[in-house]
Amino acid sequence: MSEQEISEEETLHVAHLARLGLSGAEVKSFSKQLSAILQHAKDIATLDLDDVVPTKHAISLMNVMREDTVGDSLDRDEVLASAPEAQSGMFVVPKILGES
Amino acid sequence: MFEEQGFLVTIGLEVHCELLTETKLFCSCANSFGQVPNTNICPVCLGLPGSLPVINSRAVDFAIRIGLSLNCEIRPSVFHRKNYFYPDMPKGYQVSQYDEPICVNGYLELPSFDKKVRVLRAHMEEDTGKSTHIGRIHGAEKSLVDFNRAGVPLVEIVSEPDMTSADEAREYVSELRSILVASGATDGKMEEGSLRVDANVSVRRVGTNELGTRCEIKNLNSLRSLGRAITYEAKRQIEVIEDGGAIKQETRHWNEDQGRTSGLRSKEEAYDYRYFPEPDLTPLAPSNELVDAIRSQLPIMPPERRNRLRLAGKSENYTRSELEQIQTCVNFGSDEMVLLAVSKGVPFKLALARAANEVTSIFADDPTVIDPGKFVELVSLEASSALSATQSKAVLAELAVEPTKDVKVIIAELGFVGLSADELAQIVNELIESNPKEWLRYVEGENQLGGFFIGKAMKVSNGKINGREVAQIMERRRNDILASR
Amino acid sequence: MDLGAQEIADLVKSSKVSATQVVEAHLDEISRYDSRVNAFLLVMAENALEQAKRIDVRRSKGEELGPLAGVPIALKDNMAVSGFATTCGSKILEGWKPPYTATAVKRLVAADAVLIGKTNLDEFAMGSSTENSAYFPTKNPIDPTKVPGGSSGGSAASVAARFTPIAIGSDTGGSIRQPASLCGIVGVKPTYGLVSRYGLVAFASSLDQIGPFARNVQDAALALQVLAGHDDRDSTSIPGSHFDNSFTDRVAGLRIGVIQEMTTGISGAVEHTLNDAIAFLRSMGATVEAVSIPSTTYGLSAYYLIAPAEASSNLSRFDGVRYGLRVPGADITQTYEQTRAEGFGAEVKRRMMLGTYALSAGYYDALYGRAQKVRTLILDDFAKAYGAYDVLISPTSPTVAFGLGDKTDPLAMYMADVCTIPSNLAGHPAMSVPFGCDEAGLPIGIQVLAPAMGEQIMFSVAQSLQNGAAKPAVPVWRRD
Ligand SMILES: [Zn+2]
Repeated sequence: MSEQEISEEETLHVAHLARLGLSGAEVKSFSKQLSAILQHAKDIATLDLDDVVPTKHAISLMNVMREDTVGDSLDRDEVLASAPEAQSGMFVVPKILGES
Repeated sequence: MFEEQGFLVTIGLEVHCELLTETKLFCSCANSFGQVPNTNICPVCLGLPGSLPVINSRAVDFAIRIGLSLNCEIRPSVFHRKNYFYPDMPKGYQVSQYDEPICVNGYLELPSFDKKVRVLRAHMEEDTGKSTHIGRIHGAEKSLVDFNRAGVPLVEIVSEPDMTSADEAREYVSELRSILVASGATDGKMEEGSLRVDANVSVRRVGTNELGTRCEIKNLNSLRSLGRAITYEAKRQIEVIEDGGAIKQETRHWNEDQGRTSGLRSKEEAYDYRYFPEPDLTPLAPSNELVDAIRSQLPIMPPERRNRLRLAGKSENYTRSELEQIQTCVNFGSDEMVLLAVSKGVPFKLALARAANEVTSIFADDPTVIDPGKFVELVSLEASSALSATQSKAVLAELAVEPTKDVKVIIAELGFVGLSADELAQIVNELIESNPKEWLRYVEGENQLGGFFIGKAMKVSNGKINGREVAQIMERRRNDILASR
Repeated sequence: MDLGAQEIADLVKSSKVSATQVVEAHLDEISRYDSRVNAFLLVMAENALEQAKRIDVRRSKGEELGPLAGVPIALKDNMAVSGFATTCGSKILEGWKPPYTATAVKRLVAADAVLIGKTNLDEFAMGSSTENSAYFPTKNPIDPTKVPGGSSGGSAASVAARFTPIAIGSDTGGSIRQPASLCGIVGVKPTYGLVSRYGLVAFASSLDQIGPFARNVQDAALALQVLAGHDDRDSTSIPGSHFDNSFTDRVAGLRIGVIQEMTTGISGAVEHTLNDAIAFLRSMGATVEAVSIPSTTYGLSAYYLIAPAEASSNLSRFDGVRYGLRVPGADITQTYEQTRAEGFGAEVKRRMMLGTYALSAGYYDALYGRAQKVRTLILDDFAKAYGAYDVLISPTSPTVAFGLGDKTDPLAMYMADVCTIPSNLAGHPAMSVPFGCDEAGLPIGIQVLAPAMGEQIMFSVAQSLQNGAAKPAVPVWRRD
């Protein structure tokens, strides 16, 4: 993490992973801003953390589980009413690549 | 089969198995197959904003059962998020155990190859919904999405690449299926998608050690597809290499109708799932007490059942067909009655043959119908020659119709009650008198004429005689004659 | 309506005032003055009046009412209320009505509080000024040219403007405490796991926590008592957790540490107020000393890797498939990209980019992985400090409220959370209590930090500080 410069190409790749369509101007400004933010985060790169265990959670709960008992489901029509597009009791989506 | 071409095939399998829980992995929606679309959905499995998952304890029990059945170590595990976008995945990530799975380092034995396939891991994860392409709506290509299956608990069992032929792969899945079903964790129905297999296939030249580049084959819905797809894919890869090409690591789709695999038509996509620990769930660390309790509830697994049968037969070298009969009994669940029969003094091979052949075909619909006690009674009679093989099979068929009927009653009704020794001797005498030429040839050593007399005896007695007893009487008569010469 | 929550509940319970009268008066105040503040995204007038009526009917039948009887409450608009729009301040959720209600909200309703509306916020709670709302910015009621802070700026403004005695917010890196400080009110971030997150639209799941705003410490405690409690639907909810609303204002004999790392880079007025607070606590018999918690200086860096990483994943569900906005494209990928490009604002995009980057192959260990280790250092350092001190204090915000539109550099904005972030990373409780003002009359809050489940002692110190605080700031239109 020495020189964290994010190229516009990298920005575009990350945007694609996040499925964010970016304008040309956004690609430029995000490349710059992300570089600056990561530059600031450089302070943690110098810490000696080899023997430190990462904290995934501030509280250390374990084995939180529920009983295998059936509960209520939502009303289908109510749920589909807030869908952008629905048909035959299902959600409609545009063509999925790889399906034919 | 590719060795003569100078190639070795390597296969590793990933098997997804749906667990037989009442509810989904992280919510209380019913886990049931074939419901009206989008009726088993709630804020959690639909990924509505603000909803949170809670782990189904029975799913964890089932995962442990599977692990123990596959000789795995049960370990503390952490659910992770696997991030990628797909319309049938409501949250934009799939919750899966990733690099801290609950079961690791197990193995599974392939009975007819005398081989252990290592099980790398078995981890828990949630299933996705289902999308169906429907063609054009208002001029645009569309798909429909149903979320009933989204969130159904799965255990994915990942093998090491230890298999070297389609037959081994098929036996692995078949054996795995028996074990999973026996564990009670799944119904193992491949046709309903309860068991889904992906195969990683690679080839390399004989004499090289480094594994070739592998392709992952998806959409293998039956053992038949699995075998065909592996053979096809191996052939394809060998052809590519022999033509001087290189194998591209990719996911390929098996088309059962065309009998071929094809590369998925997805955009060139560097997969980057950005795994990280799921912050909405706590880690799992099953206690030793829990694991032991689950272990003690497990039924005897197929490998051990197979072993018990082999031991009961007291043989070192079974024939291939006997091994198959043993496997059939274990798969069908008729192994217990064989053991019972052997313990009552019935010869192993007789009991095995009846249990593997007749019982499995006559009681194919419901193996629980036959009462093991009646089976033992019947094969004991057959062993003592009180019944012929034909008669014994006829009694079994009758038992399938009326399972509670007494075996002796059936024998009497079918007229299989043995004739008295005098009656039998009388029949044999009459036959000798009416067929003197044949008798003489028999006495002179033409043993095949024994069958002629037995056939005649069958006829005059309406099948009530036991052929072996007739043969014994004839044998004695001949010996008497020869001795008096 | 200057009545506090406890006063209202007492009046309603004793039938001196009806819940309907209380609600009508508060609705009237909102309709008159909210155009100057823009605290609310949705006023649930009809629902509030119906709820009030039901409470009055029950009271007239002699039924015992809950601890928040008739108390009007505003909810940050990232908490689900069945049948009412929940926007999270984003265009991507415009018009979406959740079919279920957040557990915290259910608890409030069960305590006979009245839901009066949904308040403005930085989009998906990402921001420190409430300027990132896709709808409109909220103004600081003390000075409408200033920001109210954020991201729970609407809730803070609602309480500071006297629209409601209590409002509920969420705090991921300071989103309750910082606006409380900037608006001159009390704001509490409880221990992680004390209040259920079920129904709170997630920003950063391992940091988010729901908490109350109030104009005094007792009301905040009353609200927290109702909010706190175990919930089976939230796996991270602490079993058997509760908050007992009984504490003193005694600090005599307490050992209080002043976090050194949080006293640098703060404005003169803030430093002055902090010193006043220290002097006051000493005068009340507490031992107050400087304490160094070195790892807290890395908190900001760790936070701006962890929170965006979790957010990038949490916000993936907004894909235009099941609810919310869809901008159709030729195929599903284009539809995703266009929907999310149009539905999310700049700050949300920025953080999703940052978080996606921090988790992506090749950077996980150096960025997200290291940030989680820094979290461990912070926990260890806090544990050490709490070995020597009962509570810790610091400024809540390095500055008073800044002008609307003043901060354009994202990094400068992130600095606003520098004092509040460590408590989120540690999962510890912390609250802001107003203590003074700068020369322009802009409020300054003191942050009280306590170890996990240390709410009781935290509230005692806060109560004491309240006793010694300057007169609370009031909205500009009520100054005469
Ligand atoms: Zn569900």
